[in-house]
Amino acid sequence: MTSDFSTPAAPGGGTGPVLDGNAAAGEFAGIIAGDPTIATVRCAGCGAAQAFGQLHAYMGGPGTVLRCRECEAMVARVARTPRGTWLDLSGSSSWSFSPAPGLA
Amino acid sequence: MTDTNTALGSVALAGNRWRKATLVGVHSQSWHSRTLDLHVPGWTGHLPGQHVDIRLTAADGYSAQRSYSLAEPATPDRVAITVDLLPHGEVSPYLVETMEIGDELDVRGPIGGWFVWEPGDPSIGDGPVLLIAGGSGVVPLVTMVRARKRAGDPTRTMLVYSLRGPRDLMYGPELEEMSADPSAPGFADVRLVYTRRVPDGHLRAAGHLTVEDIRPPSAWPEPLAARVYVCGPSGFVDHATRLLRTTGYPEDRIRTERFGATGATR
Amino acid sequence: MRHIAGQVRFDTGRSRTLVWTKESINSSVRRPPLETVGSGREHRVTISRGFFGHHDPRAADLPPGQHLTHGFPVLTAGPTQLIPTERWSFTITPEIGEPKRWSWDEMTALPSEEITVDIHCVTRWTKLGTRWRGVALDTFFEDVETDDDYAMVHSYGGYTTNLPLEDLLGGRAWIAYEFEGEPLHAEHGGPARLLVPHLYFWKSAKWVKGITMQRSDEPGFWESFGYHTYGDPWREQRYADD
Repeated sequence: MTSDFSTPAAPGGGTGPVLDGNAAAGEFAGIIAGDPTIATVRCAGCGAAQAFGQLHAYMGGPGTVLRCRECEAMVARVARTPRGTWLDLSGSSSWSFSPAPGLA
Repeated sequence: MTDTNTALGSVALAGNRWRKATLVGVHSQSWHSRTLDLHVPGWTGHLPGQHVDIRLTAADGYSAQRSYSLAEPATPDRVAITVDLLPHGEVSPYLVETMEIGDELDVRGPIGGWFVWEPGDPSIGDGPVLLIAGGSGVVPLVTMVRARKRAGDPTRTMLVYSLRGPRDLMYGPELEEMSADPSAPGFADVRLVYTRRVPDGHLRAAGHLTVEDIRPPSAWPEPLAARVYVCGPSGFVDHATRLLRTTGYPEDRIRTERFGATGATR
Repeated sequence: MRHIAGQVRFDTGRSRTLVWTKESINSSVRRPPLETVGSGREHRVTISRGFFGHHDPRAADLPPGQHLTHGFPVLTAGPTQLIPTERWSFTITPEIGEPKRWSWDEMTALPSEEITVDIHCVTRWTKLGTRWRGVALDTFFEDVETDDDYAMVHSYGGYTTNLPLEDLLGGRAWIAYEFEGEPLHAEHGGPARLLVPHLYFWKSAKWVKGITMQRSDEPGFWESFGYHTYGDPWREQRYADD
């Protein structure tokens, strides 16, 4: 998915260069065993459950920030630095990886 | 049928590291986009809808990273991406205008097992499947349709493709062939939704996606698809999702993927 | 001056080993990025012929590891905040004593100045000669009594960043509300942002809302998450423990 997001969004303002959990998934490679996009994440702020792929992702800065698509509270962030990798899930009350009904 | 979790597990682990990719083929898709065929030794495959992260590094170490959907179903050692040129972008001008056969970059992937349609997915059942594309969001959705044809999967499918005008059309000949004969294998309904400029003879006037545009074809037995995939710029994804909810789609039938802003100024 | 030596292999079809020292960083040989693996060991990077992106490869007097850029990347930790000036306020809260608050009209009535500064982002881009208008923090602090040496800066939307009070004073920091002669756009932190150009730009908090004085240097959003608590680009203090 073309996401050449170094260019700003509409100059009048708006939501900014927001992507989603699909775009952020690569940042979790090697941190979470398996595929983060199949997780269901519950926001600790408003309680909304959503697919990881639906989280709002803010990328390109010092780290990647994932926010609840309902209330925009931060549910997770990850920073990959040469000194180490940081993971913060404190804004999520749960991550659930059960397969969807019907999958083996 | 392969165990989806096993397949996803192995492709997810493979997606951990960067690998060198070499450009071995290009073909133009529209006035401002082209498909790049990359040779990636050891590429073990991917599912329709997955993407790769691309990293470009200049000789002095400056680097930029972006994500692109995989444009072709899996072939050994081969990765294809279709890139749309954003005039003020940092990476797309290089990929669309500068990169030549033999040039190299780093790829990481495949990534993402949620925004995926693997033919035969039991959670979709008998379908049908609705695909809604905004601009270059058509790339992963056409990959899904190709994979469905390759697998001989008969799931009823409609692709609704929103684009500005005829110059922006990607995969034109393929979409025509795909929608020509309802009895042919790989058939899919295709609806082109032009938002700004309309070709001569096109029946629908220019305008943004409406509830009418996502209404299923009369041949479908149900008023709603079993699964919807929406891909495009953030604003488009929000708009299409609102229309789907208005139409009565429950949340768990909708899967979305957002691209970055397009046509942006400095 | 610390001496750094290292080796990175580039894979361009021919092997090449680069050895660099801190002295050579500001010459035409720039330090190449290391792959971010947990142990920090060296890793291959593929060079893409003819790729420049938004950076200008010509050498300039930049802090170590930085690249000159065109454009002005919009990087954010959250959605763009849209704060109408009628609703805007800026508050300095000492640890003891009354907070001092300025409305938009009060703030813009304070003596302001036009400044031209270079800005350095920890993600390695530098933009030279950016022009701003703002009110120096010295002016605000004339009306504030505090014994505390440290400050936590707060933004609308919840972002925070910390720095010593002395780095806000002495003509080194502003509440900026114009950029290149125009009102500061929301996507770049408008209506007003903190501007502290002598530190990495993550310290120049967008959508600034207030400053809370603190007795100790408690870390803010990125400082508590792998990034340096001070962040001097000229000493390349990007990450915690640098």
